[in-house]
Amino acid sequence: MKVLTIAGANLRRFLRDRSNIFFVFVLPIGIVLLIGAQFSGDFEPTVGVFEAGTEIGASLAEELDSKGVVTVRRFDSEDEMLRAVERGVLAAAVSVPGDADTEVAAGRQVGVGFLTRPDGLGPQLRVSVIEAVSAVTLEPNAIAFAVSKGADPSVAAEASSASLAALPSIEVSTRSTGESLFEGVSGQFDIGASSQLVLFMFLTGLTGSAALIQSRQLGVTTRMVGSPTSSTSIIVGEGLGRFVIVLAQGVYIVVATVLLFRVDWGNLLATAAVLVAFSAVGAGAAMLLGTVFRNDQQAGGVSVVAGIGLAALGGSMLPLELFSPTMTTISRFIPHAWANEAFAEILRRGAGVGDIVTQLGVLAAFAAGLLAIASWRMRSVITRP
Amino acid sequence: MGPAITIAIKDLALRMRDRSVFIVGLIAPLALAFIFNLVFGGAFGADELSLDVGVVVEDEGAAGEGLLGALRDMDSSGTLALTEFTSLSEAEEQVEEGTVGAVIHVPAGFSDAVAVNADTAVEVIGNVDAPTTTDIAAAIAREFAAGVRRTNLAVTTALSTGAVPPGDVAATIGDAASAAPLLGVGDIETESRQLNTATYFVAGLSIFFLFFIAGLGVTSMLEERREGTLFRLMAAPIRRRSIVLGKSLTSVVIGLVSMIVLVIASGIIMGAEWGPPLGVAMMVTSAVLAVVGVMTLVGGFAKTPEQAGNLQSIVAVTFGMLGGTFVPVAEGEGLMSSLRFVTPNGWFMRGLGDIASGDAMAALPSMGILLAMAAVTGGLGLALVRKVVHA
Repeated sequence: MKVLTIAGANLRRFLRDRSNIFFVFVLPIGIVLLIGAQFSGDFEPTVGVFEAGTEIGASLAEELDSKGVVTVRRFDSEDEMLRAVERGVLAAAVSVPGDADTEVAAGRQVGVGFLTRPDGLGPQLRVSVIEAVSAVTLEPNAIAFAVSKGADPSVAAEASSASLAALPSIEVSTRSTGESLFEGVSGQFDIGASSQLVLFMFLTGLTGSAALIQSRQLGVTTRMVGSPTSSTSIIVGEGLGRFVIVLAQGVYIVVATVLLFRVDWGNLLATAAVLVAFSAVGAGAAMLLGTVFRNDQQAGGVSVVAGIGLAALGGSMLPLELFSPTMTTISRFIPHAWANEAFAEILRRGAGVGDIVTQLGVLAAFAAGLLAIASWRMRSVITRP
Repeated sequence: MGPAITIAIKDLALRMRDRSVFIVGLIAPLALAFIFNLVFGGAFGADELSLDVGVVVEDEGAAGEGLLGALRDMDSSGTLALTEFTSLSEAEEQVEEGTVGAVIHVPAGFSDAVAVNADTAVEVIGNVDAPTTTDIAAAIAREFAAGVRRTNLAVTTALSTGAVPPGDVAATIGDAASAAPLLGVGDIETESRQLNTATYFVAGLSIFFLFFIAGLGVTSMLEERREGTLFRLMAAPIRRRSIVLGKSLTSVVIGLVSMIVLVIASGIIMGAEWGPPLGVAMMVTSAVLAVVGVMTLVGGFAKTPEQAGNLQSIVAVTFGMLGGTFVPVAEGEGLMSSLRFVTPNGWFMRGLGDIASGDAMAALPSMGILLAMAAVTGGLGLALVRKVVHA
């Protein structure tokens, strides 16, 4: 019973701390909302077009815009447009020279300037622009070719528009195969919800280690030792206190994301099993941190670094599937990775408890190891003045 | 001024003994930037983007040959890695397994259909987890189709004008296919005004953690009041303004020192490139002043050091999120992108981005805004904080 009293006191202390209202209840939901907002709708990169008052520039901008792949923004100043690309406001820019109309009409080649950012979208945008360019120059090209073969320009223009009507279409169709990374993820908030759940459960657990240190600093622990309470009861009680706090954080995020964002957590039994296993890991880590440091401010700083750093290494900020081979190997040693993997199975592939036995086993092993070391450390720390 | 400096030196000495300032001001940003760089650097690195594209050409005419030739050129220039398949089913298998991201399929009879002006099609089969490769393969296929149509239109136009006799069709197709299009697409050379990944993370995390140490001045004043030492200071023959000034000076000095150490250390450890030293010094100084101002204002609303610490952390985390500390995104036009310019974080990052191209003076606008933030929030903050030493 004493164990439950100690655990209960810990939970009450946690809930009474008013700063927790923000960090435990508001912040996780805010971040899930932020991540969800990034996945909302169809992302269309913005491409700037400087038409230089030319007809060909105008039709090029129109052609680019009509595809629904990019959003076109027209600029009156080329410099301003290029600066916007440098800043990252635009994904790419297209600059048409002022003499484009006359040069093309005369059958001479003209270069359209293209500027993009050195990130992943560059090649895609370049082909979109090349495509739009070939679409708007289909006729001018044919006329120029006929003229180069000796035809009269006005006759060639008539012939090309007549031929254009008869030109066959070549359809390019695209289909997909394979198992999707985000298959089964129905809502835009699902991806953020499970990864932030893992991040915040652990982070809340670690910051709770400061309470353990305060208990010692304020002499609460010494008084408990002085009372007829076995050190085993104190250790189990404090451990259970951490466990309940981490679990409460987890359950809160699950319930709140269901109510606010309609996140589908899949098989509830499997989700509950991961929550319990990961709460034990978080409790073990918090106990260990609480016994390693003597100063609660130091423990607080280390908690934030470890909480965010381990989450990043364990795939809570970038899906594990996108990790490089070396980073994948490193992630195997981080409990977060196993929890994230378990949630991926549950949320994307509808896995039940039976399908995530490996992940649950590894998490249990992490928890057992951490709790064992922490209990051994606690035994010597609580009796120290 | 003398007493203010004495108080600041005393506070600094106290902070040095407490190791948490080192953890929050130096170790935390460096360690997290290092980890973020490891995790995100590998995933977003431009060099790592490999385009594995396959091709199945069942067509036996000139068009199919043309596509193969173009793809082989892209392969040898390193634009993509090409795998040529002889059967569609084998290609589909490889796509499914993910060995190639996407396959372009030109069906049998493609060239013949084009020759008689009949509609035809090209197919792209992509792996769902390789959307970029699939998009690019589809774009190559569309560009190929556009080229075929361009040639086709040029030839039919030339024939119908009578400039080319019908007997010369074969030669004319060759001419038209090899004629360079009138409008070409070339690159514009320019500098990038965004920081590289490592620098981005170090810069974002440094200013994020700066918030936590910049609030120490106000917090320590509230602590001194609770412990009674503030009243002893007030009884001493020093102006009350000097007490407030001394405390603020502590925050500014700690902030500056930690930022300078971070700039140097991240350059050595992670190869972060902050830009021209003068510009960086301007940005760092104005950012420290702005953050100390904001934290003084926030702390000014608190009655106890705990309250101050909590309020300050909440503002720090919120600004960090809005200012793009954790998510490296290009500046866009949405609401989120506009909100970042409410925060010192957003202007600090933008100013650093502007000087990244080498022009220290490009930092002036962002620096001006940060200094204005410092003046407004710091002025209001000091007015609020002054009541602490008058009660």
